[in-house]
Amino acid sequence: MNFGAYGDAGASQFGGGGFMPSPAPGHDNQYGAGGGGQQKGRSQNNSLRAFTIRHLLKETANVEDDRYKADGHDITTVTIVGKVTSYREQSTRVLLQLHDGTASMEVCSWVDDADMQAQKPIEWQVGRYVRVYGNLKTFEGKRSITAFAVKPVTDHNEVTYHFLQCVMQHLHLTKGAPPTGQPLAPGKAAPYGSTPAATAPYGAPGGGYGGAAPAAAAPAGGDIHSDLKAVYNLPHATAAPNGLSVEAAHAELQRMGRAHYNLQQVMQACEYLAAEGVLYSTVNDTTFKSTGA
Amino acid sequence: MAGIDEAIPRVNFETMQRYHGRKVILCCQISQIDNGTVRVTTSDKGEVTIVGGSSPYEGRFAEVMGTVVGPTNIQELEHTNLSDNFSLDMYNELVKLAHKDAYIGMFST
Repeated sequence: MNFGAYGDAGASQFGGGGFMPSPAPGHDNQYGAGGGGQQKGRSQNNSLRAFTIRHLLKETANVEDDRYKADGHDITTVTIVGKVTSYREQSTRVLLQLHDGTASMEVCSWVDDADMQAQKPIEWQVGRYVRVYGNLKTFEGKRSITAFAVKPVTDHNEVTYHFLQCVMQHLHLTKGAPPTGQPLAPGKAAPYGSTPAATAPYGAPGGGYGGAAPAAAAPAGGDIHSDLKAVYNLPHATAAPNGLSVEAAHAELQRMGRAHYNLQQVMQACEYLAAEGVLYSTVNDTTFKSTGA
Repeated sequence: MAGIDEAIPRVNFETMQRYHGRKVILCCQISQIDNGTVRVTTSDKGEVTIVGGSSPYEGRFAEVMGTVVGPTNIQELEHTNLSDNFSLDMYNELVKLAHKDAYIGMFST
């Protein structure tokens, strides 16, 4: 199971540059005029979003041109995970029908070399789950995805994870990042609360959630990460050129009534938040400032 | 909505009850395999009997797609064997989330 891709996507999952694997040069030609126009306009704003097919179809239902939007934001690359329900090989491309439990969609994958062509029938069998990365296309009123990557799903937790990610991104884009300084409301925290215990490897994808990660991944013994993030986002902390030292943050926490954290816990939490991209160290290893993530 | 075909919702024992007569996807833990019937435990600790499967069940977990024919019975159309590290807990959280009013539109309505 390799969730490295999610780690890279990180904070740039929601648009604004960064991670975006461009389609191989050979594929550009085959997108046609519509696709070319789309890419020109989007070169500054590539994003990768996870969708359920139903959500994707609904959001793009009334679009006439090639500029697709969902949850109020432009869509560039999408990723869906679903079961292959039909498979058809043509001379230059493979056509898959994917059903992800919410709806069905056609996926078209251009095949360049004979090498790749031989691989497909084995990995993309009907009845197998695959993950697709690609761009939304419309042809004769029907939506489809032109894929530049199709990967078999080997760990079924990836399927569960994908749907959770869809909900999370939808929430993030429609309601904004979770409020800083407050622990996530029980209703929201519940879906994530059980996961660190249930599946240890999920520590890594937590990073892909950007701002939500520190609170979601916090150990059960107290929400030190979101408390600390709140401290570092206090006006005087963000205004200070070098931010706050760990000692100062610790003192702030005590003033906030969080007296049960000791200095070492605060230090460890600062390092964790720095690794997550929420804080960065300034003049030395024990002074941090908020990145605003 | 025109153009969007039927959803096959992911369910647990509790939500399965809303889909009598309809196709669902149930991820579950296998408790017992008899001649053509498989008894499973759902992600919310319910007991369901799956009938009509033809291909073999392997390992501890499976994702079954079938029609709900009774409160504890599913007629299988097909199933996928899942690896032993499958998290039924995380799946259960997903099922609950996918049935919330706020998000159900992304999944099955």
